[in-house]
Amino acid sequence: MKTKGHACVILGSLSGIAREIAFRLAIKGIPLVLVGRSAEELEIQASDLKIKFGVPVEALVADARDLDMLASLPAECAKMLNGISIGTVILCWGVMYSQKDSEKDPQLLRQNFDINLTSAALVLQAFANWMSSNKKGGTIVGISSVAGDRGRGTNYLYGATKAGLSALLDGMRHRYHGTGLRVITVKPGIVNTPMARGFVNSSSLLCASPAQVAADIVRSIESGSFSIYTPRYWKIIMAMIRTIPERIFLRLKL
Amino acid sequence: MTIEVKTNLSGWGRFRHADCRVIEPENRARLTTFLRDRAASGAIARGMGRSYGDSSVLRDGLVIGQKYLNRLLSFDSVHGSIQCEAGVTLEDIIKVSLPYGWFLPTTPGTKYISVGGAIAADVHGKNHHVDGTFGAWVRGLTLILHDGTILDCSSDKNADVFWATIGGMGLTGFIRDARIQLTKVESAYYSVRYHRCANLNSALSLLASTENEYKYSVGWIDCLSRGSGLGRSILMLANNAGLDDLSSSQRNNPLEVRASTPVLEVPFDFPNWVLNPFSVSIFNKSYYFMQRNRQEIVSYESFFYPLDGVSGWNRIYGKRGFIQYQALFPEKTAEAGIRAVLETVSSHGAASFLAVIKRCGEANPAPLSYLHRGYTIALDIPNFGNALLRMIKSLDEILLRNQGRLYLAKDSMMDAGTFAAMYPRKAEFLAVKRKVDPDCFFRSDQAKRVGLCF
Repeated sequence: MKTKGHACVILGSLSGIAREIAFRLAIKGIPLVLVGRSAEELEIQASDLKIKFGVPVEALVADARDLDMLASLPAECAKMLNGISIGTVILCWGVMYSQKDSEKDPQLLRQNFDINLTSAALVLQAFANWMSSNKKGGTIVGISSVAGDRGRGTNYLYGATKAGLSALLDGMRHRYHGTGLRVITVKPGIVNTPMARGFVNSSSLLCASPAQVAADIVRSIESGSFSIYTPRYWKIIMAMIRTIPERIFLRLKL
Repeated sequence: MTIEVKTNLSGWGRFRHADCRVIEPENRARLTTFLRDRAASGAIARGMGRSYGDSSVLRDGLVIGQKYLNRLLSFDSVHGSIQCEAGVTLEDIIKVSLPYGWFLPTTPGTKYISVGGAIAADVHGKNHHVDGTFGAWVRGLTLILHDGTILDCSSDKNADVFWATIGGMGLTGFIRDARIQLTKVESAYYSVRYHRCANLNSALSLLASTENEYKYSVGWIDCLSRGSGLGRSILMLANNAGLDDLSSSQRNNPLEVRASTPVLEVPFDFPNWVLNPFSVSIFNKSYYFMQRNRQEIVSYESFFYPLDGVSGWNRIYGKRGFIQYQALFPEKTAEAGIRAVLETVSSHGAASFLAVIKRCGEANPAPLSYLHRGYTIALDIPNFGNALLRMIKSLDEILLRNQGRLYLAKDSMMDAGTFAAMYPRKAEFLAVKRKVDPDCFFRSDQAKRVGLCF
């Protein structure tokens, strides 16, 4: 892996996809900082990885809704790592509150944006500042979604947060191009995780496992991709969806 | 919010199916909150679903999956003590402990079971006569009770709940995590002696006479053979292989963890006619005569887990599924009891190519623990239709006449009367259950059927 000898910070390590990413990185011997909301669960996740793979794993409690704290996150992670530099940051936290409920409840609606977009912008910019000032290079990965590619009636609030996140990541990639800091936009389709539970039929053909998605993400870091759909067939599906003329799209129940 | 998903479930035998509402709590807090807030409709935990019947199935009820509650909490590689969540599998433990020279103190024929399941079914292996059951090696466990209360149990703390949970089929509460004492091993290999026995008598006497010589013993029986050859079997008697027993290539990596990818996969249900009395009897005859008497050094994978190499082997029995009938007889009635069982099975032409006999040692304190001194025989029987129930009833009668009993983890058909007769300590178990689960929240289809609910 390009960032050998450096650690990886996983923001939202308890999420369905993040757990699988953490395994794959730990197997490669990469030291980790797990960031999440529950101290108890983070400790358990850290113990599990340390016992199975013998890598250094630190746990840091943080809440994405605590917007004012996010700017100091890179310094806190660095302190825990005690000399090992931060080579990779992977943003995995996110929520998908019910569209119907969010339409009726302004607080809930706002949380979608605070957690998925605003916190992402604050924390990723903080890490970008930190990593570029260290001049060691590195990779920032953000997990967006195919839902951001085109606004659709049944899920546009979540979709809007992801559309924003995709643009943020793409723009960061452009901004830091050539400085040694890479930014990867990851757009998963439908994934069988706790977030999606009940929302999707996990045995349907279009539903991917978190393990598959995590494998694609780790591969993208190693191979220097810019922007990926995972699984890959979503690239074709979304290309088609994006080109449907609006007049026709409006008549579809999506 | 923990979401329920309606799923059709069965046991490993795929004998009966039921629609259940499955939840997969992502973390212990979600589970505890869920239990505190839940409506009373009953729930059962489900690990890897390897019990053969409906022990982890609850029609229209809640089934609590372990998908995310499967993490290792601590491992002391010096003393061989491991603490883990109940969703951790025996395979996970082997991968972590074997490189340090520790192995499971006893193991059933598959490593793809959860620690929670291993405790709830109080599983046993080929070394019961020496080392007892899995439950004997549990140093402590933590239960989440019906109302979200956390209860730590061990043999000297809440001992009654501890022993009721061992072999308690998940009916006392949700096992959150447990501490297991592992056994030190010099290598990942076993020195195995294969011995052909011409009939049941010679198999039983060889098992008894070598009891102190071999730590592991098991016999594969040709259960279709009749007359003078009734109970002819291949016995496998083994001890741990020391470093000196190994070949030089084995000695290079004596504690090698085997790759767990299956060698074969059964991709679809075989048609029901594939396993029939004719085909199985050919297989059994060939297998029996092919085995030479010999001594071999084999890996733990070949010795303990040959079927793990065939992924989905239960599909060989076809869509109709199968049941496993596992009978335990005390020493004095074993020969007569096993003989009667084998005669009944073969007279019905109930084809089974997997019939296994083991020697058993002393019982442990658990009220629902299955094994005690004697012999246990386990048979896979294809579901050949309505006549199956009649045959099972006659087998049950043979057991009752001979002080035998059945194993809940394998059972699909036992009724409440038979269970009560076979498990005299049932009332003791129910008294503990009433204490920790007064509304009988934890229940399964099997529990309802055999009378472990109130």
